[in-house]
Amino acid sequence: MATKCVVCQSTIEKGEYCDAHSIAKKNLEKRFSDWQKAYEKMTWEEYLTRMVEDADIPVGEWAKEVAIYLNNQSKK
Amino acid sequence: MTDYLCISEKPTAAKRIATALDERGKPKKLPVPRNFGRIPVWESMRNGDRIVTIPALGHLYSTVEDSAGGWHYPAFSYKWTPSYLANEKNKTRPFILAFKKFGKEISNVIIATDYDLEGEVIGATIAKFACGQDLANVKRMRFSTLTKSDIVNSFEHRDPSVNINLVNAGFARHEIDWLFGINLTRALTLSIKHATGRYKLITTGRVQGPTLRFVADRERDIQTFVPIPRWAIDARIDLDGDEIFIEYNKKFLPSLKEAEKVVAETTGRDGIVKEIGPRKITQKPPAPFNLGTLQSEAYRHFGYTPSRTLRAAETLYLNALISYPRTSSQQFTAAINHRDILTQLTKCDPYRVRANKLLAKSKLHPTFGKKKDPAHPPIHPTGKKLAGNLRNEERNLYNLIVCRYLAIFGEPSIKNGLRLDLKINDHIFYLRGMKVLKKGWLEFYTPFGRVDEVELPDLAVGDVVKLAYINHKQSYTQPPARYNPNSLLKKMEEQELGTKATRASTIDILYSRGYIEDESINATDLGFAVIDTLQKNSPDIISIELTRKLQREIEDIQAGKKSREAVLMESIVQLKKILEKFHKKEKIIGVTLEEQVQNLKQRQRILGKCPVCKQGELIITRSIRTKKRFVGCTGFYKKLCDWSAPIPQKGYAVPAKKNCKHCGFPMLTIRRKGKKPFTICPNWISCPGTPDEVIDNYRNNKAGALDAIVEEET
Repeated sequence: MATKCVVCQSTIEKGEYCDAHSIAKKNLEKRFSDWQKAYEKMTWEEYLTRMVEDADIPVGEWAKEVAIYLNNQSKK
Repeated sequence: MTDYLCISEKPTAAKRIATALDERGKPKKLPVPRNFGRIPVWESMRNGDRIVTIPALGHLYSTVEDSAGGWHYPAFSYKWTPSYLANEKNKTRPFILAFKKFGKEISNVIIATDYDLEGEVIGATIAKFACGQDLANVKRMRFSTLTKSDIVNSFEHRDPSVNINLVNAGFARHEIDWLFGINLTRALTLSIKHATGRYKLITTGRVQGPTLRFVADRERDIQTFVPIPRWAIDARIDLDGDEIFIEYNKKFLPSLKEAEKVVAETTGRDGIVKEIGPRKITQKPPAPFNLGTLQSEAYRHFGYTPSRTLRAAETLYLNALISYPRTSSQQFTAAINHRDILTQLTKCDPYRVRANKLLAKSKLHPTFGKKKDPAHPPIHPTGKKLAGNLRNEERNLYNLIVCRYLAIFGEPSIKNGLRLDLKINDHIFYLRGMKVLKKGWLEFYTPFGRVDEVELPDLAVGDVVKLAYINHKQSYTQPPARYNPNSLLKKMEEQELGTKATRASTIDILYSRGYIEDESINATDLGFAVIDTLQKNSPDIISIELTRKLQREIEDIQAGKKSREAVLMESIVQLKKILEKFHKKEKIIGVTLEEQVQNLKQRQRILGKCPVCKQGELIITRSIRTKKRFVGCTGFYKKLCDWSAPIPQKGYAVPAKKNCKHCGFPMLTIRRKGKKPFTICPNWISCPGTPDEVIDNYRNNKAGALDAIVEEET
C-alpha cells in the first residue's frame, strides 16, 4: 500500500522516506562520526541542531529537511 | 557543354560556391516561378560548362509515421517525407520545388553540402527524393573551407559518387532518433493520460534522457550533501613591514584539536628558511582546436555557451574565415598549406608580428592531439581578411581561433616554479613563486595564454623571519559543482553521448522543455520527476550504455562494418523490449509523473514568504472576477493578510528566487518570447526602487503602464 514520505509528504511505495530524503538521511548518519572526530565531543542532537541552525554550513537542502524533521522528532 | 546541378546546404554557402565556380566571379541569379518565393538559384559558367547551384535550408526531408493509427505506441512504421508536410510551420516547400524543377532538366547532380553525417543526409535526400537520382550516380564535392581555392579544387576533383556508408549512417541515425523519440515521448505522455485523463506532453529521446540523468544525479548529490568540518592554518610573516601569506604544509586539518595544536606550537616563534627549491616546468603548445576544445575555451574566456559558440563558428565558416567547425580532428594533414595561411595573416594588423615571426622559421610543425577526423582538419583560419559586418562574439571567437592557430607552431614555454620552505618549531610552511623563463607558445596565444608571475621575497637559506600572525580558520568540504553548459557538453563527450554536431542542441532542448534551468545547471522538479520515475520503473530509457551502444553501431555503419537495416532491426528489438516493460508499469508511471507535475505547477506559482504578514506566502494568481493576473498572499484565505499587487499581464511569470534589494519582497521574472527575461518587484507600487514615472504612468493608465516599462527595459 502506498504511503507518504515523513519529510515531504510525497507518495512512496514503502518505508518512511522518499528516495531523495532516504539518501539524505543516510548521508547525515554517515557523516556524524566525522563530526564527532572533528569536535571530539558532539551528540547527535547537537549535530542536527548545527545542521539546521548554522547558515554557514553548506548542507544540501534535502539533508537539511531531514535534519529539521529529526530535530523536531527528538524534541517531542 | 555539360550542365550540373549543385546541391548546397544553406543560401550563404550556395552563393559562395556559385561565386567561386563562376569564371568571372559573378554568377547569374536565375529567374524562378513566383511560387518559389525568393529562392536564390545561381548559374555559374566554367570551362564552357553550366553549373546551377541551389541552396537547401537544412533538412528538407524528415521521417514521419507511416500509418493512420493515431497517437499510440509502439510506432515502428515510418517514411521519409518533405519537412513542410511533416510540420506546418516549416517553410521549405519552395526549396523542394526548385530542386524538382531543375532536377528534371539536369541529370548531373553534385552534392556540395557540409561533409558530415548531417550534410550527407541533407544532400542525399534531396538528390534521391526531389531530383529522383540513384545515389550511385550522384557526385560529391568535399571541402573544409568555403574559400575559392578549396571550392574550385573540390569541384575539379569531385568524388565519383557519394559516400554510401556515410549516407546510410546518417539515415540510420535519423531513423533511430525518430523511433526512440516518438515512442518514448508517446509512452510517457500517454501514461499520464491513461492514469489521470490529463494531457501533459513529456518528451524524451535517445540522448536527451541520459543527459538529463547526469544533471539530476549531480543535483541529487548536491541536495543530499552533508559536509565535514575542516580547519586551515592562516599565517603571515613580517618582511620589512609587509605581511606576506605563507601556506601550512597540510592544506586542511581534520580536527579542531590538531589545528589548535599547530597554532599553539608556532605562536610567538620565528621561522627559519630551510630550503629554496626551483622546479622547471615545460609546457608544450596546446593541440589545435576541434569543436569540443573550441567550445570549452570560448566558455572559459568569454562565457559563451557551446551552442552560441557553434553558431558564431558557423557564421565565420560561411564567411570563409575559418575551416569547417563541426570537426573532432586535432591533427593536420600535409594538404594544408600553413605557410600560405600565415602569409595571409600577416596582412591583418593584430597578427602581423606574430605571423611574421613564425614565417621566419625554416620549418613549421603544428602540434597535434589524439583525436582524428578523416573528413575535416582541425579548426583553423583561412587567412581571409576579417569582414566589417561581424558581430562582437564572432570577432572574439575569430581572434581566439587565430591565436590558437599561431600558438600551435610555437616552442614549449618554460616556467620556473619556486618553493621556499620555512620551519617554525617543527612545522613546515612554505611560499610559492613562479617565473616565466621562456614564453614560447604563450607569446603567440596572447591574450588567452597569460601567466601571472609571482616573485619570491629576497630570502636565503638560514634567514630568520618573524611570524606576524597565525590562527586557524574553519571551513567545510564542499558539494560537487553544478554542471554548466560547457562541463555538461564535456561530460557528454566523455561518455560518448551524441555527436559533436548534436550535443549543444540536446542541452538547448533540455532547457526549452523545462527539464533544466539556470547557467549553473539545475534539474527542475519536472526534470527530476521524469528521471526519478524512469529510474525506478523503466531504467533502460535513460540508460547511458544503451545510448552509447547505439552510437557505436551508427559508427559501425559509417565504417562499413554493419548494414543500416541490421542496426535498425536491432534498435527496434531493443525499443520493443523497453516499451513492453514500460507498458506493464504504465499506470504507476502515469500517476507518479502527474503528481510531480502538479507539485511543480504549484511551486512555480510561489514567490516566497510574505514580508507583510510573515505567515502566508506570496503567489502568482488570477482574479476570479476579472481573470487578471496579480500577486497575492495565501494568508488572504485565512483572513490573515490582504496584501496584493498588479503585475504585467503579458508573458510567462515565474519566481525569480531572489529578494528585492530595496524592500525585501520576493521578486518575479517575466519571460516573453524573443525577449530578455525581466525581473520585477511585486511591491513595485510602494518599493523605493521603483522610478517615479512608473508610478505616475500607473496612476494614469493602470496595469498597462507596467507592461510598457517591461517592454522598454527589455
